[in-house]
Amino acid sequence: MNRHLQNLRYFFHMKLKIFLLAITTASHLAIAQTPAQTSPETEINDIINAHRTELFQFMKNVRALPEEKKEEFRQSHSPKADQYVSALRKIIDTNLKDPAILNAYGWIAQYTRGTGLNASDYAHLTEHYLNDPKIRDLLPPLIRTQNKEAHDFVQQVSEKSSEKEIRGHALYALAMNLDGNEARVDEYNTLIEKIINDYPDLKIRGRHVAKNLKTERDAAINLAIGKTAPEIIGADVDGNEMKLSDYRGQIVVLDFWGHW
Amino acid sequence: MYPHGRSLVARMKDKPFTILGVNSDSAEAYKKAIKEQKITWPSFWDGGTTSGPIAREWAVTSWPTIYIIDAKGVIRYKNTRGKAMDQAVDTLIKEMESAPAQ
Repeated sequence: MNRHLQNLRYFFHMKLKIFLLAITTASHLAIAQTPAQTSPETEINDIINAHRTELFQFMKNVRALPEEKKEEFRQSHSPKADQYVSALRKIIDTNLKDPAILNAYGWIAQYTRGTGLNASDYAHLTEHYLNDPKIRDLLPPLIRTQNKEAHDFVQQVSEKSSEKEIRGHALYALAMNLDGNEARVDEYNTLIEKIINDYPDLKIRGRHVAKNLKTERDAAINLAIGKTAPEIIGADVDGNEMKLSDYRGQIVVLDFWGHW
Repeated sequence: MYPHGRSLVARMKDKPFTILGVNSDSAEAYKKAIKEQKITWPSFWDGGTTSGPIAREWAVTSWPTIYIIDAKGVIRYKNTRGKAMDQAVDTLIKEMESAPAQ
């Protein structure tokens, strides 16, 4: 009986071992035989990260050089975007309906200053992504290209997207591009007024951009040279009340300060 | 600003002139600064934060920000510093002194 039990135990033990071996072998084979499942999103991120790694290495090499050799090295060794652009282009062309390609479009726009995108790209974006919230992140890189087609597209988004929030993002991108541009100050002001009036609650990355623009705009009007200074009613640090108008009749240097 | 402010205040001690601060420090830091930097002019205290009510209304986003206001309460200069600030104040004083007394 005892012996029989031992045999039985042995039998089951061996069987279990073989069974486990079979499972692990099968799973290993499965991994080896089917290619790793990657999404377009992962593939795109991998390409962008590979470029970033190359860029970091390049900058590290530049830093290691003596000052007089840096410029020559920069000229000859600066990482080229071409191979990354064509890798991203392949993913775009085979995954036209996957919103992950917006990230690839943004990268291409940035590293080719817009020349890497063509009319059919913009047509495709207009057809499929005009109302997709993900397009919001593509707008700043398009604006930064300073490329006419890219800017025209952002303009089109600001007019034609069915989503108010997306139109607001596009207007804001167009406005920021003109901020500080003396020659186009009228255009800038028109955009700002439109954002303040039509999109008063616009938030971008958590910032109340429309409200901030309104504060700045009002300040520019009310605090311009030649305007009467707005009254300040407050107190010193000990709680003694003070007013700016207490100093009427004196010249006041109003100094916003901190001792940090 | 402090040494320059002190010398400007000293030079203008007989003139209708004041520096008026709007301070964004914590109360402790502000009191310490006044003592250590020998600041004699008054300051509004803006609640211990850079987003206090006065800084917000005046849309101040960088410090220091300076406005020079004339005797009638009109903003005449913005962010004028150093020598230019002295000249601006001198100009406004001259303007007052040459204006007919009311």
